[in-house]
Amino acid sequence: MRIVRTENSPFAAVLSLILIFMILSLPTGCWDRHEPDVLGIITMAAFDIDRDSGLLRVGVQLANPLAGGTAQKQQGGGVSDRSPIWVVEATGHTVFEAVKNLELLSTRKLLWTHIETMLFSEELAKRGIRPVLDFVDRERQVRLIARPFVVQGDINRLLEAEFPLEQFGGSALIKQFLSIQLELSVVPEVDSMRVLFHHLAMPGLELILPRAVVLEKENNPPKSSKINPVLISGAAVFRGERLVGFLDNKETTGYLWVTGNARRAPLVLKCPGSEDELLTVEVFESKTELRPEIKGDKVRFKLFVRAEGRIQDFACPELPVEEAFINSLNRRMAAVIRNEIEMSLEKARELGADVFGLGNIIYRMKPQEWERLEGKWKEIFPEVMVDIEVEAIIRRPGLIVEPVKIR
Amino acid sequence: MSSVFTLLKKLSFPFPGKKKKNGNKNKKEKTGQPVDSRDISQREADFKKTALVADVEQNLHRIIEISGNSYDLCIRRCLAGPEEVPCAIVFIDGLVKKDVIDDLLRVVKIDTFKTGIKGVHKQEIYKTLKRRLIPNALEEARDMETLYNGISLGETALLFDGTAKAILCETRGWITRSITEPDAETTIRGPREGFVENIRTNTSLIRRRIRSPNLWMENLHVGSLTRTEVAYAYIKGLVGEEILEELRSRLERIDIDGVLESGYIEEYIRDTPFSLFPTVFRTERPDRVAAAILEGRVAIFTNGTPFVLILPGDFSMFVQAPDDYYEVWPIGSFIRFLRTLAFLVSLFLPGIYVAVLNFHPELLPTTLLLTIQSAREGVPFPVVAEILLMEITFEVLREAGVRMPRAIGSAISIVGALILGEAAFRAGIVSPGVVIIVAFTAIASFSSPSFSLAIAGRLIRFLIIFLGAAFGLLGVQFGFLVLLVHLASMRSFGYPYLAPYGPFIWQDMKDALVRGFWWQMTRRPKLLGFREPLRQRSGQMPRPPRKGDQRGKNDRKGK
Amino acid sequence: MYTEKIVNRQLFFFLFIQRTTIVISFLPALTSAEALQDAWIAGVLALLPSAAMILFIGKLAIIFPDKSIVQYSQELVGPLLGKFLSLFYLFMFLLMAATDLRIYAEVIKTGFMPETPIVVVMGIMMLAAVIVVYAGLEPLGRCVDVIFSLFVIMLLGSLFFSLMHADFRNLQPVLSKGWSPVIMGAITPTIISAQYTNMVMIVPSVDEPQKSLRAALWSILFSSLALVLFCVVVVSVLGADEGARAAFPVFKMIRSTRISEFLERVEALTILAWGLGLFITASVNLYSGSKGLSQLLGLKDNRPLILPMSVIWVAFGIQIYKDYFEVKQFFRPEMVAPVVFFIVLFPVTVLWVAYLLKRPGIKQSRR
Repeated sequence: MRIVRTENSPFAAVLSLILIFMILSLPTGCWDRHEPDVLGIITMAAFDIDRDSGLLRVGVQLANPLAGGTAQKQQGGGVSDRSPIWVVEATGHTVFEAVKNLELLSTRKLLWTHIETMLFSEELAKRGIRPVLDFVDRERQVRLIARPFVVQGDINRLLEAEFPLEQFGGSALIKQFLSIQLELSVVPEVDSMRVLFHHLAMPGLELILPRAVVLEKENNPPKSSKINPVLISGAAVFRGERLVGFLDNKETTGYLWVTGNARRAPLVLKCPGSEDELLTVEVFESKTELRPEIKGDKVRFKLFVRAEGRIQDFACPELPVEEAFINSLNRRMAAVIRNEIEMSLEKARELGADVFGLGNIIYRMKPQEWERLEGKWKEIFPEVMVDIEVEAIIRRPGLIVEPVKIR
Repeated sequence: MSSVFTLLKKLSFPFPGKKKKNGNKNKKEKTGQPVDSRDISQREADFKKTALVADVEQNLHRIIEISGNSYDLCIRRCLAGPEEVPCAIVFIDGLVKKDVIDDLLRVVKIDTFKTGIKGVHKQEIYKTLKRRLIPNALEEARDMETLYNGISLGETALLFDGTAKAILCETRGWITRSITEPDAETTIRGPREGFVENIRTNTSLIRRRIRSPNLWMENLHVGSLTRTEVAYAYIKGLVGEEILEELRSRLERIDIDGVLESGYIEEYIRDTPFSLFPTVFRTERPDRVAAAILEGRVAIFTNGTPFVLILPGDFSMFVQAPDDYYEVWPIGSFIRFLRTLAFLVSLFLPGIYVAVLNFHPELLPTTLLLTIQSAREGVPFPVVAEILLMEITFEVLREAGVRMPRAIGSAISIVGALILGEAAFRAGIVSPGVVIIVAFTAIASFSSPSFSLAIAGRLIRFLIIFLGAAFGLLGVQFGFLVLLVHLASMRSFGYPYLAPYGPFIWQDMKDALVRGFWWQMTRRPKLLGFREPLRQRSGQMPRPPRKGDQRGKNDRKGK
Repeated sequence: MYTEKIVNRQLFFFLFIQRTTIVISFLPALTSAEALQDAWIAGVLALLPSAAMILFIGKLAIIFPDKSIVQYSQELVGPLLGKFLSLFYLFMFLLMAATDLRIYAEVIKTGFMPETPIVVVMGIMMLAAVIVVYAGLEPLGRCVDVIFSLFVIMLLGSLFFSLMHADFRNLQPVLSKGWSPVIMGAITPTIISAQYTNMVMIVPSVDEPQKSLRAALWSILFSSLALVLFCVVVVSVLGADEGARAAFPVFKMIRSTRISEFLERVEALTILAWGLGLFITASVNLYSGSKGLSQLLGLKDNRPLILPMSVIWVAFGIQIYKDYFEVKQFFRPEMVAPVVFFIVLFPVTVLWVAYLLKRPGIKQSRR
């Protein structure tokens, strides 16, 4: 080991330099500094088209710091009578112009970093969402973790609505979306702007977004409303950047079967033997395989779906534990699934939008074929044949085997 | 009038010289009185020159002259032996054991008359006593300096008429604080002993722990007036000779009038004197000192203080606590990791808070930002001012807590916690977020086992806050980098301060951020124990007995 | 005089961090602009030519283990030509440090602090570099020991967080457009290996210079691994198009990750790793530059040069590129390849030729 008395201390030599640097920069510096109380935090943004002028309209929902939070609770003791949200709207020729025009009406500098939800109105989506998207991708404050929705109905009502259980519309929609996604499998899995951009750019794949339906306004004032103002169900189908139509719940479930994202789908079947009674099976595990077969311009897909379910309610007279009966249950379940898939395929063909990404599968697996087909994919897609093979298995009955007996 | 004149004269001649001496002489002649107005360094020099003479009375007269017949100086005159040789016993009351003095007097007064003892005449009595009769004779003094050094340490001087020498006897014994657990460094598990103010007790505590003859202790006196005993202990053959050499030269260089605490020594011998970070470790715990010595470090004991210095001191030493080694290793590693984290938190947390809230609110999760924002509504200050206000309040509070008598210490905590924290927050002067941040920072800085590291963190924290307020996270990062460069460029007695993190030494990582098993620590720290890297036999992990294992066989037989 | 020594491990860290910093800032965009989803293949392809380039530059440095390029070039081709040739290298250090600083400043300005002047961002980083170079190479080595683990942990963290969203199907189809875009994509990563020219100044301070070449090759291997990993993750998270479109793909990727409702907005991790990496890059280049210049001017100490040099470097970094587009333009293969090949390889080639011609003579003089 070497003994060095004291090394050249950079500290003593450069300390003065740092101090000068800091002293000089303190008054002139602080370029990007903003105190939190000059910021208005946006939790939800809505993009719409102004019906009168035809300009782009941007509406944002801000969290009202005076309403919530601990300070209020500490001081007031009770629930504040201020609304937890605050809405600003403005129009402009471009999105950014509209966004800047928002500041005209706002007492605070708008902060776009915490947007949780982005809403596109049906009108805007039909005209094309590209002008909005470029702003979203380019602006540094916007994050791609925001979740997109296409809103059917009055978008302003959704923007101004108060949710009975939630503070802000932005997080309320997300919570609603997540619980639906977990429990029902009726919304497409596009859960962030990142996925949206990804889907838009992928060859042979059309965009599909979750749909939020605003419920009709009742006559009572929104303040005392005890009803959730919005329903999230189904999907909005795009071709390119334009909205072309919607899938309803069943069709969306069918779509999820094809893409392999159906998680918990409830299936209502008729009882074998007594056709008036119904039973419900909930799928808890599923697997999808999709293989293309290309012969010239003829494209066939082999779709294999395997679903495992359990009986959740059973109103049939009896449940004999024998193979024939269980098999007939399985067959009925498979038929329902096949039916859902066919409905969604039919709808997609009708809309001419390859939301399943069938073209994308060809692109990934057979890039040479795709190069040939890419130009005519619009014409080919409605003609694509899909051979559906469903294997459905009911694994377990729940806590009881025999249905409830009533003398 | 004349005193004013001398005062002026003193001021104009701060250093004593020949001129001064002449002036004194003149004064003596004028007033006719022996006004001794020599200055302190002159007095010290004169005192050192004075030798003992063969006349007891003259010697005693000189002692009285030198020490001004101090109140605690005791002189007992007596006559010894059949020839009634005049002799005197000189000691300082309070430093000696009374019964030993009585024994000594008995020897001088009575034992010299015992039959069969020869040579108790005026010429030989000194030799006889020294060789035969006094069991605790230490050495002989030929001059005043040795004599006074002895009695100021609690020894007793024996002066005989006709001999220009004095016997110094070991009669030390004064009241010291008992060995208790140090308040500042407590442990859950571990020895309850702590150093006291007496250097001998302190060295004995180490000697009791390390019984090898290779534990060497060297000593020297530092301080021209206090003559404080300073000793340094190390294991010969393990410690690097360069470190010792360097330490000796640094210790010998010290020229100071008095050393009252080891902090004085620390400032004279430490590297990078401008740094806020301590490069010499100090502790009150003998187990820590022993552990450090076993690693190849050197411990410096200073008389009059329980704080022992250990060097070289490196960063990881300051975040280690003795408990780490006594508890099982997972918890030892965990709390040590936590402590390092807490140190970083205490440095950076307020700065990061300011930077994030002012510059990068996008880094906070939505709900957190909304909560902070709504809690801050109505607070009249910017975030920086708010956090500085609370930090300074807290620093004052902490200082008040230390200085307060213990009886009213609890009042401080009530005033601090309730009135300042709660009321300021309720009045809307500060937001609860800042209170939480400042409180957590304070707790984090308390968790540091070394106070000297924590106080470095206290100052640097303010710099980081300023940087964060000026440049956001970029400024905090700059602060971190400068701090890192500073720490990396420091050495303590040649030992890199950041080792084993930088330079990265893999084999030492077992005892840095984590604490490995004891049977795993087969090697000494690479740069300290390089003279003999191997510390213990490897493969000592306890295992269940295997076939053919002698120990296992015996166990089974016992069954 | 006390000479500062570092070890090969620290040299490895220097080179690794230097290259990886620029990889995570810019490179996936560059390679995937050409090669789209096959960017990672370009990363793998770049390994061999990079290694060859390092061998070419480094071997000569190893032959003169106790001399820097400024010294041995004068020995090989005479003082005048030698000084002239080493000027190329000094310019290379300047160019690399200025470019890296500028990229970092662009990221900060684009993504974090849009109103902060670029000179402040660059100045702050340069000041940190000045301080450590002033302290010397040995403290710099100790800093890199500490920083390396932080750097790697942060990078692995950001990779791990991003992997949550990775969809590896985005990597298909493999080689859909043949080899040529991939090879084009491999050019820039190869050129970035010019950063290894720092070896020619640092090797004289290494404890065992004979093993330095091995350290450099290991570091190119690991940094290529990092490049490939980042290419794969960026493409599989963002998709090839978004990856190619983004100005700073890794930044974009980490910004759009969300692990849970609470664990999101983790880009500070990447930015910090980036800042630490840039600190090392800037200081190593500043050290090499100031050391080289002091040897060129015959000064004993490089310290007086550091501060004025750093000011010039920051100014150069601001002046050399007018805007973001010029920075990006510079990294296009057809722009960067000739420039760097000329600056880096031309002097070394001359020196190699001189060495091979003179070799017997030198061997004798050594004996």
